[in-house]
Formats: sequence, C-alpha cells, structure tokens
Amino acid sequence: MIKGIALENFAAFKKLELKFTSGINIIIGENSCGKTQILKSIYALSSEQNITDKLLGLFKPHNGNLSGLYHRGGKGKASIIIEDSSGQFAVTEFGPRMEAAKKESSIVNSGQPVLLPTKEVLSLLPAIQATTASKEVLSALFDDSVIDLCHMLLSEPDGDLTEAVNNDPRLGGVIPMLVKTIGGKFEINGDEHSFVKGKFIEKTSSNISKAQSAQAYSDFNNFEFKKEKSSETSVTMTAEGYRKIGLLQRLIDTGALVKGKTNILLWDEPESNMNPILMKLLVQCMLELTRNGQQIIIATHDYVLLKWFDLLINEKKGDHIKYHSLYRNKTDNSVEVMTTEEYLELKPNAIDEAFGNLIDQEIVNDMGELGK
Amino acid sequence: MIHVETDGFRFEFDSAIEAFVFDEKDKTKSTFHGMPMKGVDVVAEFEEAYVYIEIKEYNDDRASKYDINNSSSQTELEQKKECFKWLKDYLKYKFRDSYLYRHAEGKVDKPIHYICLLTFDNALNSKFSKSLKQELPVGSKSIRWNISLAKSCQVLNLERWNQCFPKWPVSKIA
Repeated sequence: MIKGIALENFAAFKKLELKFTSGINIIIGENSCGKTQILKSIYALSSEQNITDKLLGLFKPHNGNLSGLYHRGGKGKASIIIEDSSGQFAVTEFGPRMEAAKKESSIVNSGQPVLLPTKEVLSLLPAIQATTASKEVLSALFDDSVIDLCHMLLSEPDGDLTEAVNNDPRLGGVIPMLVKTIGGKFEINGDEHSFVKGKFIEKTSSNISKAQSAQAYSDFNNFEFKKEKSSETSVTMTAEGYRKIGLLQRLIDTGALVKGKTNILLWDEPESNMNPILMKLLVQCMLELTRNGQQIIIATHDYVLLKWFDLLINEKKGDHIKYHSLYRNKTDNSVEVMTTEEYLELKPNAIDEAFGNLIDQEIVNDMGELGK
Repeated sequence: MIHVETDGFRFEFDSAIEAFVFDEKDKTKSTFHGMPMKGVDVVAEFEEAYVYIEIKEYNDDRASKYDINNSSSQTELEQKKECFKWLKDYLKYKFRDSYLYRHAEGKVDKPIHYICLLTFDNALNSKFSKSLKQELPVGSKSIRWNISLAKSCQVLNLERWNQCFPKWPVSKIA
C-alpha cells in the first residue's frame, strides 16, 4: 500500500505532496494539472524496472530525454518520493541536464503495480501476443502503461477462475459481480481471445441437505459458471465499456490484482468510453475490490462516477475514500492539492464547475446584462 | 442601491427601482402580503424587468434527498423522485401565486425572471432548473398565449449568484 507521494521539480509539479488512504483515492482537477502524471509517477517508482527507462517509456517527453520531464522554471533536482504503509521509501531524482535518474528504494514486497490507462487495451492483445508488431513499433505507438498492461493480461492465470471464486471467499463477491455486470467473461486460451456470455450461479446439489449447504456456504462459495451455448464472440465485437470492466476480471484471473497482493491499482479515467448507466456497477466493483484489500487511485473528470462513490460508500463495510482536488495557484500558477474525505467539502471542484459554467451561459442567454 | 434582508440573507440591488420582501408578514409595513396565497421571498423591479427571488436553504445532508441523478436502490430513487417533485412543485406554485398577486397589483408589465437560490451543487441545480423551466413554464408555451408568465428561470447557489450577478451581491447574515 502506498501511503503518500511527494514530487518536486518534476513535470507539472513545482512541489506537491499527497497522502493516500488504503481504500479509494479519487484525484480530480482541470486538464494540465497533472492527474495522469501522478498515476504514472507512482507506477514508475513502484515498478522494479530501470527508473530512467520507465519514466521515459511512460511519459514520452518531447525530446526523448529526462530534461523534458524537468519542471520548467524549477531550481535544484527533480525528485519523486513514495512512502509505503510501513514507512519505507522509494526515491528517484535527476538534475535538469542529467541523462539518467537515480533510484533508491527500501520498499519490499510491494507487488507489481497495475496502471489502467484511458485507452482500452483488450482488443490490442491478439496483435501483441502474435508479436506482429515489433517492440520498437509498439513503443512508438503506445506508452509503457499500455504495453505493460497488455503483457500483464496475457500472462497465464494462476488457476481456474471458478475454482478461485469458490476457494477464496473474497473473490466470491467480486468476480460474480464483474461477470454479472458485463453478462459474461473474457477468456484467453492460447491465441484465442473471446468473450463468453454467461453468469456465475450457485450450485445446487441434491446430495447436500439445506443445513449442510448453509454450513458449507459460510466456509466457501459454491458457484459455477453457466455459459450460454455458442455465445463466444470476438473481443473487438464487445462494447468498449464492457471491455474495461472485463479488464478487472482478467487481471484478477491472472493474479495481478486482489489475490493476496499488496500492490496498487491506478486507473486513469475509468469513465472513458463507459455508458453512464454502467457507472454504478463500476463503482460497486471498485468498492468491492477495496473491501478485499485492494488500494485504488483513480483520476477522473466524471461527475456521475464521483457521485456514485459518494453515495455508495459504506463505512460499516470499512469503505474509506479520499478526494484530492488538484488546482493551479492563482499567484504563481503552481499545482496545489486540497484533500478531503467529504465529497461536499471538495473545493475547487472542477467537475461541478463544468455544470456551473452551463448555468452561467444560460443566465447570459436569458437575462443578458441584467445584474452584471 | 436597495438593501433587502430576509431568511438569513442580505441582498443589495444596484440600479433597482424597488426591492422588498414580497411575502412580508409584518402588518405594519406597506408591503404586507396579507393574502392566503404563496409568495416568493423577494421581488425587485428594474427598468427592464422584474426579478422574483425564492430562497431555499438546506444543509448538505438534506440536499442529497433531492438528488435524483444518484440513488443506490430503486426504493431510494422513488423516495428521491418524490422529494424532487415536492420541491419542484413548491417552487413552481410559489412563482405562479406570486404572479397572480402581482397581476392584481397591476405589476406584470415587464418581463419576469425567476431566480431560486438553493444550497445544492451546480449539477443538481442544473437539473432543477431544467425541470422548473418546463413546468412554470418559461416562455409563451401555449399557442393561445400572447404573453409569457416567466421570461426565464434560474436555479443557482450563493457562490454562483455572486459570480453571475456582481451588481446584486448576496451574503449570509449571522
């Protein structure tokens, strides 16, 4: 679990610190305030790969060098520091003219972070698996978050999904919910990628008495995946919103999320290409993941998503949400943050401000110069 | 500049011809309402228009009762729809009764703008504004009408009010 991040002279940030909850963290703010940069910074530092390559691969600075990531007008070295829940740190720093960044980390067993970019990736998997595109071509087309995620999704599941659902009480809540939301599950068998319609249903057994069944249910789940006949469809033919939720199912399936992991899920604009009707289910899925110990940090522009978190949070179930609003200081234009645990205290709220601008325009249209 | 204080708010109207507490309950005042009709809180007259103002202040918890954009269950949605409808009707009939009263006063000779000052966020205020506009209604909605009841209807919070109407600043009074 990541407890906080501090950035100095890096990308959009002159100096910024954020403290995270182990539950859900929601970052909002106007464009160019650096929401995505925070997600990528956490990802880069949590990753075990070479930090310079990772920063360049994720951020793709215009000149291809680290100097492109140095904060314009900064003084001294650029640095990113993350702290984990046990008070251990990972630190990276570089000077404005340095070609490589230094990284030191005392964080152990943090697990491979998962970063879901705004771009949908499930449909890219067959091409990446078949290696029809070279590494260089992929790197020219996508940043590392897309490529890393594809490799993560293509890794072999560490067991059968139904078995996992039944043996791990925590997954018994999450997976059937995800599958129900999209009406099926994504499967990768060898080089075959498909979406299979169906749902998890509770198994009934004539050999088990109701009392035995109740006892058994308290210890483990008893689900089976009921597949619709001849329902396999191509992943590309599936709605993009479904593919995004399918990502979570596949990541749990491959063991990248939830299954005893302490890693972090970073999700950039979960709402992109998502039907607003699915938003409630998406939020329920994310809350269910955090109830299973998954720390999540999302960046969003979406009012409906934000409100669903506010409405569905259940403190009795241990839900904890922190809202982080990034904004530009009017004096020197530097990015600052306001953090709150109460949605209604969230100010400035760039998302609600968008609705406010609509009100402003209506007043201008209807009332002209009256009162101005 | 005319000052009006009502329901815990203080308004200042620059360039107003007249501005007063419309639903005045004090019998000693010349603006005493005195009729069994609903009334908006404030009416202000300007050279080019009348402005009706209705204030409804809710604390944050109560505000979510009306938020039909977001409900966690069908039952909750139904309850919220009821609350939303109640408040929308309340605001609608306040306007209509006020219009009738002003008609009897012979004071409907200019366009009328109706502004509701609610303590909701901008998103929820937009939703109320849309519904209220449809039902007041705003504009000449009937083919038999020659004039409209309301020229416009706006629903906004205190912060937005002060941004949109710098000549009519409003503040909370302790």
